[in-house]
Amino acid sequence: MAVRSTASTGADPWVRWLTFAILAVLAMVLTGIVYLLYTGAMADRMPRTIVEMQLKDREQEYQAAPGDAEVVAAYARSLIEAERYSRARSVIAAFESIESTSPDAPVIVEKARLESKTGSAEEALKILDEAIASAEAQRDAKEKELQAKGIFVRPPAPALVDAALLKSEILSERGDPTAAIEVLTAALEENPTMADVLVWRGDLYASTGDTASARADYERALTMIPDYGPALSGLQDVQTEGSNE
Amino acid sequence: MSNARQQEHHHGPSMRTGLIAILAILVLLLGAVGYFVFTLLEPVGAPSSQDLPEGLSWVRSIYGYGAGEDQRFIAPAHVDIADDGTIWVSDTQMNAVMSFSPDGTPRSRIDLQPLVTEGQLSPKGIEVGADGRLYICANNAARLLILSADGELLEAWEIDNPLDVTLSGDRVFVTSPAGVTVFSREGEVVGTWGGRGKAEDQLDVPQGIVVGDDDVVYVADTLNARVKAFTQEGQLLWATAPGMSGGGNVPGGASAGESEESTPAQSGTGMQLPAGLCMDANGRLVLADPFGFEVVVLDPTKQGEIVGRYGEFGSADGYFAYPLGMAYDAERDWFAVADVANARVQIIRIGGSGDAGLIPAARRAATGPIWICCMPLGLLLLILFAALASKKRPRDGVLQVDGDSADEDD
Repeated sequence: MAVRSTASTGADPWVRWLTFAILAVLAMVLTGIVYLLYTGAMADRMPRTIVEMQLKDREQEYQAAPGDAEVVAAYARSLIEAERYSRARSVIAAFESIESTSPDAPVIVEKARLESKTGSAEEALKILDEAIASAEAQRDAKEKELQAKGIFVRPPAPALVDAALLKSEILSERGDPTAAIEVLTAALEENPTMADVLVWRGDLYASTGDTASARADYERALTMIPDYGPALSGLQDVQTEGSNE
Repeated sequence: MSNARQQEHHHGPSMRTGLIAILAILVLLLGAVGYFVFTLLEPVGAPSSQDLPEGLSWVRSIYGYGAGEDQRFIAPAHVDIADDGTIWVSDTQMNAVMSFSPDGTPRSRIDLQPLVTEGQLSPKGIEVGADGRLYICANNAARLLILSADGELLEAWEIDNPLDVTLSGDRVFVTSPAGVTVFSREGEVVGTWGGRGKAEDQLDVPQGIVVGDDDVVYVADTLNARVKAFTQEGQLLWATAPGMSGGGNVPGGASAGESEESTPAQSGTGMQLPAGLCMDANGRLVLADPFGFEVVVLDPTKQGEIVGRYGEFGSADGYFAYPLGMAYDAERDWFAVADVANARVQIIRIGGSGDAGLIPAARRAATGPIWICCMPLGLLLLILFAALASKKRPRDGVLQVDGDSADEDD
């Protein structure tokens, strides 16, 4: 029978070659599977990069508190940074579908971030305006709550700063440094101790030709971190530019 | 034509269609497997060459011996690489040493705390002998522990605050704040030299030691911010100028910035805190500078002239935060760096450390788990061989079938 079979495949060269091709592809599939299994790539392996480590940590936090906006936002941001956009989308959607136990502004900011990476910048800016409004409303509510207890302080709103920074990033990418500067100024009013944001605004001022404002920002950043490299190099650039002029 | 042949010709097109369908499914499956191989094996967030400090390439980071948060390193201070490529790590906070295969897979964990009765053991320098024995500086226990590869305590030699250890011939060299103690392999002290101080031939908390092929003992004189070369009897051969001095070595060395192979980052300042020390395949000294956040390459033939600096401060993979221990794997031409404050061990490559060219690169690639593909690939070759061999067989087969058919007809 074996001989008959050989003869039959020999009778149709197409059938014979297709059989060999199938076996060859099968061998390659097996090679891939064996390699994956041996290297443990499919197992719950230990993190190999800092990004993987953060993802793992944030995922664990998320599993423990899927209704906490801060936790969800941190996890979504890690996913976006790791370019796992579909998972980030589903995490945000899951949060939106449940009744949250905490203010939702941080998650809206991450939704905007996701939109800016995968969708349109225009839509991301709209979502950011929504996030800013939400963060302000939440802060006002918190302020009133504190006032009722006799505490008169303006509570911080980190989501507001995050939203402003992302908005500024998008505006810069769209080639609108003046609007980006305006947004960064609002963020710095909220938190004036961000040396990196001062340098960022300094760079934007420098790009618009306003070297005096740029120099002021770099110098202010250096009062916070005296040997801050980006501030020193920014200052050097504007000084060189000034001397050339 | 026989009935059998008629039947086969009748079924031919449908069989062909069926086989094409199977082939199409398998090709799709192959594509899926290929996708998984490339996406799963490529670490998420692996730095690209543009993201890395100049001249440095990142191979992998090891963050611990398991996926759980409680299985991660806390303070991996020192490393060594065994002859078979196994990476050994000592963690001063975990009081344990752990081993990893060259691909980063955990192999073993040895808890050292049960080996001592009092206080924190705080392991520092670690060295693996050719016989697989582990020599571990149990700093707070004032012992040099000698363990079998499976963690059995074989011996414990007394020495105050041992910091780093290296082996050469029948000698064991151990650094401590007081200098270098030389042991015989039986644990007998055969010499001590380089007492604590700032003089040329003295040492201050030396954190790194290595013996070259020329039997010269090189010591990272950490708190004096220098590297010194000694004979095995402790006679000073040369010493670099103190670090933070703007470069320049004594005697007669060129300043760091003047080196031909220097990188742009290498402008002026000397070493800040030379620590873990190793020697690469080209006989260069490579050390970790925790305060410079970099690895520094020195040429021992030019009395320790600095010929390269690699690294920057940061938490991203490929960057350092207080790197302390260093080890070199000549087979794979890579370095293991104990990146203490980032709580990880990084495997990196730098230029000029080993054999260049395609053949050494192919040899290094073959040291990975690629061999696991041999069996299925062998199967593939077998199939191709069978395909080629059977090219001649149909004629024989046809003749035979015809004969059989004739018999059947009869």
